[in-house]
Amino acid sequence: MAKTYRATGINLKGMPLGEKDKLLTVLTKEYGLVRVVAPGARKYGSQLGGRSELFVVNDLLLTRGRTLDRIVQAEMQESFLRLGQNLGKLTCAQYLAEIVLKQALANQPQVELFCVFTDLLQQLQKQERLTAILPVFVQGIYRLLALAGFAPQLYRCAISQEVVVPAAAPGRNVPFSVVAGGVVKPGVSAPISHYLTAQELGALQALAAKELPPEVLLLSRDAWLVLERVLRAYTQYHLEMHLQSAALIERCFHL
Amino acid sequence: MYTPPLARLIEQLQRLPGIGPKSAQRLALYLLSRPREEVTALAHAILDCKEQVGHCQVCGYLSVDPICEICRNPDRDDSTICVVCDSRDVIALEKTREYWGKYHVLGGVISPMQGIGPDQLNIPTLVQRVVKGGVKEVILAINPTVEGETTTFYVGKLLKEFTKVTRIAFGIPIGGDLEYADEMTLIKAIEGRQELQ
Ligand SMILES: [Zn+2]
Repeated sequence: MAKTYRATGINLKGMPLGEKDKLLTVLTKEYGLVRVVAPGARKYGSQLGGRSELFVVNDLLLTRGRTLDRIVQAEMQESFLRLGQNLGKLTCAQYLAEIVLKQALANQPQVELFCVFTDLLQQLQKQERLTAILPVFVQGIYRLLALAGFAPQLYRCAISQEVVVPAAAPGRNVPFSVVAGGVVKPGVSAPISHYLTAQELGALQALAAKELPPEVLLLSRDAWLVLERVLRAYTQYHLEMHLQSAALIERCFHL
Repeated sequence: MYTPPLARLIEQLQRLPGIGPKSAQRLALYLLSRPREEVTALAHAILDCKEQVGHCQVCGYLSVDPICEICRNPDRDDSTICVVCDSRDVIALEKTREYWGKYHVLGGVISPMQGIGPDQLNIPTLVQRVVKGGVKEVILAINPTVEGETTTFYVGKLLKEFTKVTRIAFGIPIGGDLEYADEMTLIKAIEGRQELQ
């Protein structure tokens, strides 16, 4: 195996290491999730300083070490500094990053995950209005779940596999079971975690589309927050994780 | 390999930032070789520090008294507050001997994925200080990272309606060479450009 190798990656996490270094967790296209040392990154004036910041995409030249690989050279391709101009955007971006950190594999290419995640950050960054962030964000959670092979079942009952047709009457009458893996028919024996309206179910189903239909984009902020809570519970259960960033979601969007 | 008390000391030293197993062993063996009085003095210094040093009730900077020396100093300008993340930043700015205002230490930056939101930081006390009046300018001196930006914008938005809010400039270090600056620094340097007087 060559002593040095190249990779393109986005920094998802960083922590101080020793006096002057930084330990980075980077999602690379070529090798998936890697933990690398950015030598001297915390030294004043270090070239790796800015390049080892959160959500910076770099072309990296790395050298293999006995325990941890080290960055020899980094050239910045993209940064998402403007995500920081709004607490809502940062919270959504870090929420998605937490999911990526959990689902990304090591030692194998993760091109699709890399592209989906950076695309999500670009979209989050360019939204001007707070209400426009939510659809991008909630669809982002869904896209990551789908990529991991964990998308919830939304058309057929997760237990009986029968087609679920929401009742014509308004109200929360579509049972959803996190544990069972999606919507379930009323009366089926499964622990129900949420009851959805037909409109909310429709919106969840629409998340699989590349572009959200206009009627879904017009959903109220409260409806998007309901969808976020459903997907949050689902993600935390199926990816066996606790989403730290979720604690700030209500605060960011319930102003 | 080590006799139990020595193993415990090495283990404790290893928890310190920047200390690996080798350095921990070297420090432990060095301490063991020193006279008893010297080691006792070190142990007392650590304990005294932990027991006596707290945070200033006004600005959050490290202090033995409820209100720190900087906040008590009548010669310092009450109408300017410099907001920093960490007490270490106060020490760095004090070394310049150029700043004569007061400080406010937030205790970190907003980082949702680490469970740090505005409520976990020393932000409400800052707002109280400014709302009380008499503050002509708040200087935000927070690192220009993504999380630092969020903290800067969040705090700035809260305070803007009460006083003038500025942020420190970021860019090329004195003696630095443009050619060797990283892209993030260059972006910030261009953003913070000034009209030639
Ligand atoms: Zn003080």
